[in-house]
Amino acid sequence: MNSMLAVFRFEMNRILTPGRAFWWVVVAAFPVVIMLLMTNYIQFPPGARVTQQNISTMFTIALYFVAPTISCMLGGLLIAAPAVASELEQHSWVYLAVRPNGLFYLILGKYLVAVVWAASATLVGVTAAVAVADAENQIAAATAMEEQPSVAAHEQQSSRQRDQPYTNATGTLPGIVRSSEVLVAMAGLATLSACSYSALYIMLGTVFHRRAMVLCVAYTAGVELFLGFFPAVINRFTIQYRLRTLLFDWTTQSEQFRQSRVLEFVASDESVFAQIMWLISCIAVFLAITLVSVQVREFTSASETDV
Amino acid sequence: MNSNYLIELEHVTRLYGTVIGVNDFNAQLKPGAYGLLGPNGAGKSTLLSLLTGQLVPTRGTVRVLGESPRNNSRLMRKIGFCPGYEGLYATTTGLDWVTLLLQLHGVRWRPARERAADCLALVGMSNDMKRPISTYSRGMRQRTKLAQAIAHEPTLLFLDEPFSGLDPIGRAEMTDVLNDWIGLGNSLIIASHVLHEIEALTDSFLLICGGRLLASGTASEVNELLFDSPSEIEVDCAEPYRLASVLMENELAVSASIEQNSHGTDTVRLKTLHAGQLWIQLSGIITKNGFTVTRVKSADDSLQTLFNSLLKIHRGEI
Repeated sequence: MNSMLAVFRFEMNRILTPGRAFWWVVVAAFPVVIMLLMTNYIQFPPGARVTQQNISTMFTIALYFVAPTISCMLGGLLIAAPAVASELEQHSWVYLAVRPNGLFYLILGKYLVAVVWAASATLVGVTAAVAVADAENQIAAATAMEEQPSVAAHEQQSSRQRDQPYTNATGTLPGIVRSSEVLVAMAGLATLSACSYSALYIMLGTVFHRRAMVLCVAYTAGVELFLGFFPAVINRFTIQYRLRTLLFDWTTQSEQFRQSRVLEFVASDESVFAQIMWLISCIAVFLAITLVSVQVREFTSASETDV
Repeated sequence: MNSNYLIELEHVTRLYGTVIGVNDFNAQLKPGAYGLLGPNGAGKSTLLSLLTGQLVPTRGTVRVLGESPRNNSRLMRKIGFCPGYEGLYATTTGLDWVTLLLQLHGVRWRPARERAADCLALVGMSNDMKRPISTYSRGMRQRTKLAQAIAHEPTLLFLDEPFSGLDPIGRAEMTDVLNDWIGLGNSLIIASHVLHEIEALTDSFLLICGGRLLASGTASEVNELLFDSPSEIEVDCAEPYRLASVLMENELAVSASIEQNSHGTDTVRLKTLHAGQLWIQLSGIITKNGFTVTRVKSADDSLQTLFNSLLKIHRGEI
């Protein structure tokens, strides 16, 4: 444990550079920018009748897609994918390989760094994005300005507005209702997503270390983002499918969305416990493959010797 | 698992695809200091990678301190390795890096930091250990690499070209550090292609070329082996044609070429199959024939020629 924490601390210090800090800010800012754009620039066709709950569902799904999905993927790609390749490229690998279980601790330490980096950026981004898209506050503020109602009256009005058709008007679009519920759900999803994708990328980056980044991006695009949304059995084998199921379990969707057949294809009807166990199993398998790979394979090449 | 040998290599062969790194290598070394001597591409670094468990032999067995080095965490506590290439983190300080590597041996942060500082001071890095490695000179990096190799107090140290990039003062200082290390009863295997670097530390050599062990022993034993091997000799002489003729008549030289020097004398370059015999008889021939000789030297004293001769002996061509 001491050795793993030593690698973690060392690697955290190494990534605290202006360049890496910039990317952390970019990843954290990504969901905020998307929420701001949605709040200010989405316009429905004139006369369209959309309930506020529908809008909230749309905002929640969009936030899930940009934060626990894209942000965590980016974080994992930046830190976990090149974990082994970077050590091999700069020939620092051997110094760790000649330590007792040095490679074991290197992998686990770097994995922890990737999780912390991706999860922290995503959590900050999600918190700020939810604040931006917090419809309750926007409605309350608007109502207070109009008629200064009592607290009870405000609750009643907010509740009514959630269920009543929302006709688009000019100005800011109300975003997420039940923001605290969404925030808690997103925090949980971000943590699970960071753990899962970091494990996936560190495995791919170790097994295919010569083309680590290219392969991880290709896998993400082809499997997680394409097959993961493909309405067939194949999507059940993706991290995306499990996270999405948790999203629909942990957040409230509009009645219209619930009644549509979309959920049948893109989410599982198994329990939350099953989804979490599935993700934990994936993480364990990915890390096990990575650790076995660094123990079994030879990473010293002829170019590192004088032959 | 107990063994009296420091290193045991039995028919060790290592292939990189179709390229041979180490070829049917056999050796049994008792504890002590050894120089692994060979030209570039001889297989020294491959051999060190096999000994430190980075590579697995394609054929044969490798044992270090009686144990297989591959994935052997217990053995890794007893060995230190200083590779030939740098591979240091640019933005990290030398002190932080050596501290991390010590922590990987299970040492807690504070004692690891103190020990790292002591080791860096030992190799002359006390003033620079807190600077980023990117600001280090090549010599400083070599010293830092040595510090990480000895910091956990191993009993066996593998060094690959440790003097590379060091200035003469740095070489002398590092030689002192390593001699002290050997003096404490520790073992050392140092790979180099420069003979005198190794001679300052040990007189036990393993001469390798083309991945093969060509010879082993002390410097005098190796010289004895080379005594009657082919060689080239240069003689500066006033009568070069007559000298060449006499030597060839006596079958001491198989060919001769003569070069005119700018300062007036001529140089006879003689190729012989029996260098030892030529050296013994040359002075007598010079005296008997009254030649005026101003200089005699071995024309091919480079290490590569020595290894070529040994390789021919090894192949049975001589």
